[in-house]
Amino acid sequence: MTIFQILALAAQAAEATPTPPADMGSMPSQPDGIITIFHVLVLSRWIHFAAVFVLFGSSFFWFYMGRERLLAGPGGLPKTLRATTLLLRVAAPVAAISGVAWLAGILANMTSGFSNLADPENWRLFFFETQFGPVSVLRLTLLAAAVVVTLLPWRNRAWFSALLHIGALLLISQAWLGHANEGGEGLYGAAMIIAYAIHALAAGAWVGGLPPLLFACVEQRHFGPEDARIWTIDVLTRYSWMAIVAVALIVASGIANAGFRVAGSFDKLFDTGYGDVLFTKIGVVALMLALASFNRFIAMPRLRAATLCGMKQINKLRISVAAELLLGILVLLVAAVLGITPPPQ
Amino acid sequence: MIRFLKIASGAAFVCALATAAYAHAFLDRAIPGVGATVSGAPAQLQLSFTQDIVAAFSSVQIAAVGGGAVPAGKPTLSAPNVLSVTLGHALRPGVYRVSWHVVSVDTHATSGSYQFTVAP
Repeated sequence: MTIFQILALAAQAAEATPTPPADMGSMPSQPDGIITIFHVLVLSRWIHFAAVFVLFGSSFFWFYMGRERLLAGPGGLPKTLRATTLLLRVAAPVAAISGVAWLAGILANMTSGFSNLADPENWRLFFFETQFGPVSVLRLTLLAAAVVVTLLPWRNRAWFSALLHIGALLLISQAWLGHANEGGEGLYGAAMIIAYAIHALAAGAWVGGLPPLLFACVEQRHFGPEDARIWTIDVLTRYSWMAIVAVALIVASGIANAGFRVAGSFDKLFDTGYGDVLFTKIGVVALMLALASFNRFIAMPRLRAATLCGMKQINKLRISVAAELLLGILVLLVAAVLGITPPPQ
Repeated sequence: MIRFLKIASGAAFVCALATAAYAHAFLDRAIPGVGATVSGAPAQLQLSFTQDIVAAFSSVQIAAVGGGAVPAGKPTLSAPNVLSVTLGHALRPGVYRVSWHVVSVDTHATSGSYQFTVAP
């Protein structure tokens, strides 16, 4: 199945909802064309989510792995460090470009056409006459800061710390550009923003930590069998403790987010495109959890008990981590669709 | 695991207590009402939506069915989710169609239309 087929199915799901009475109104119809506003919104959001997850999660990885991982001595992961640095240097401009494309998609959707993007007055209104304008300005500033930081020659904890904090602010500020911003001022609105922020940060830590984890599993190939076994177990143990906390937060905040969207219309969830997309997301996350549980509770104990066949166990773990990463990228696509699909009314 | 289940059930309980917020703004009610017949010409239209909206990107047009557009002022927010439009002149008896396009505070756009009648 190609990406365009996936997008076509997603568009059908999004347009199939909601089913309010005709007088209530509907989402604007998408103009015909190979690339619609919906395509731009989904693709830009998907790429942006992935890039910001890398900025946050791949930087965070180096803080729960311990200081020795940044060094060249025993337990160090110099090749993983180089690969992560390169990934972050790619992720920052990709996040910036996709972030601008996302804002352009939002404005095109608000004004019913790409041609309206050429009118500076629309941009002025967007940035200075809307509730989400100041947040958008902040996000553009953060994205520019991320690009500048990745251009710096350092590769130390301060460098990772800067990207970690920028990534965290980008994830949190996404809340004001979507469904989480519908609660208004007051405690209820704040609870929606907090639930979204926890969900995004925890998911960013989990999925964004997978690329450096995969790099580390690959780097272990160059160690002797016993060293590879010991250091792989250590790296995986540290990652899995972080992931256990992250998954608990993801599930709790995910339940909260779903409750905020469908609390008054749960019975309609099964007949709407929003329900289809939500259940798809839950299904893919369940697959990720199954893989993560396999790694944590079956593969790791086997590796601990392994002797000479330890390298074979590490290879299996590497494949499993890669599969988890691919599923994580797929979840982000589903999340990109879910955020612009109207919940049941 | 027990602690996790406690957290998850706590979150679910809080959400069950919460009132659902409607993502995307849909028309909740209007004055004059959707499909209503009113006696006397209204001086303004009021459209209430299911969610707070952004006035800068929202518009309301009114036209007589089978006739021309009725001049109207720029829509303003009389409440975070209510658009008010002052009509340029008194409406003559007849059927009128109101078309609206709004952007909600979560950046999503919706549009729709409805009719009402001014009785002779």
